[in-house]
Amino acid sequence: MAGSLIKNKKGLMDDFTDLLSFVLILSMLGFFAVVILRTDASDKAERTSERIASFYGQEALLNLVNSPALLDNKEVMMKDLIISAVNADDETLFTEKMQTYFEQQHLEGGVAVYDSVSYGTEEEPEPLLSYNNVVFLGNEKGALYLTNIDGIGNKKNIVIKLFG
Amino acid sequence: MKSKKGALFHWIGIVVIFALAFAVLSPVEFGVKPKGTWQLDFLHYNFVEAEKQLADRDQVALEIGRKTVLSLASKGGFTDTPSCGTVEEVTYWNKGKDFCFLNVDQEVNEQFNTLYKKHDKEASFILSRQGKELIGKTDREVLLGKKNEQYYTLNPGFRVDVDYDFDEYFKLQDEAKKLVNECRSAPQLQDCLEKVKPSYWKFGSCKQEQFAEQGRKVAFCIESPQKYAVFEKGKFVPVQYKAGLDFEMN
Repeated sequence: MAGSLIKNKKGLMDDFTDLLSFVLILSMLGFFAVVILRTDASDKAERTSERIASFYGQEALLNLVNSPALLDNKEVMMKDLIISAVNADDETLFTEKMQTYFEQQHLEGGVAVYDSVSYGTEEEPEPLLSYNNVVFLGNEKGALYLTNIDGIGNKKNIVIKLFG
Repeated sequence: MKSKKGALFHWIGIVVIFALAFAVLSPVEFGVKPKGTWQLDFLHYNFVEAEKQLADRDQVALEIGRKTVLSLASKGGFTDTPSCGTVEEVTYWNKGKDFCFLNVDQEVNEQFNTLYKKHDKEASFILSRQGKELIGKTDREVLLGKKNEQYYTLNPGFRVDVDYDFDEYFKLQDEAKKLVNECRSAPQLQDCLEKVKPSYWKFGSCKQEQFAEQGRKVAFCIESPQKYAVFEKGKFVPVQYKAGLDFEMN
């Protein structure tokens, strides 16, 4: 009787250790699953936020090119000024107008204009015109192609890039 | 019996490990899905792309609209030579008593489309005017994005402010009729015209006014009464009309 009890106790202990290790494995898996899912969720939320930020960046670029600007006390569009500055290689006009716009809109970053041929073929194309009000330009916010009907050679199509 | 009970727990452990391996290696995505993927894709590939293309197309239309203003003014408002004729590249608005009345909308439409075709051969717009704005309508559609049966197209119509009102032609043609009526019978044509013509009507050239008469035909350079100037190639170009009047009696 005593021997059988000892035997039963041994079995009971054996089952109890199995249960304990099972519970331990399950809680470890649960822990990892929660950690992975939480990280995954935060990664994806971050990715969504980045895409929303990219959308706002593109909007900022569209607002820049479609905004009104003054030239000789008459109103034109910023697109007009950019195209005119490119055709006349007028860095001063470009810088002056961009500086005014960046100050009015409280923007930090820069804007660069490329000819579409260099932009499409070269790894690090040299901008035709550029302006920035910070040391490091930051990430690209958006790029926009414009047709320059009076442009000569590679300047027939230009690319405007906004950084910030 | 005892060994089977123990084995069950071991099998559960193995099954869990296999399930975990499957979850890691399987191409099916578990866990949280990014929010708003479809909406952001739509905005990025369709809406923003369309806005960018419209920004470009509107600019082309605006520049061609401005060229239309200057080009028509240099030809007295006519795209092609009217029945009143041209002399030394000056379009005449009348032949004796008969005036070649301008159909401004038709001329604007024709000139704009001719200039636009140099940029895009397939383009064709129906133009209308509203104040200083030009409105272009087209049936053409530009396909931007296509996914299965769904697609997003862009209508490249436009509405651009050329900062110029084509109605100025009506005022000038009225003044031209008055000049012809009052000076047709005058023996000293120059004296009569100098008394009657408004100051912005210049003989011959706007830069250096000089009266010249060829068989009672006089060429004029007319400065825009409203002082319109069109932004062209980086500067504001004043609108100046080139037109001639015939003061012949018959």
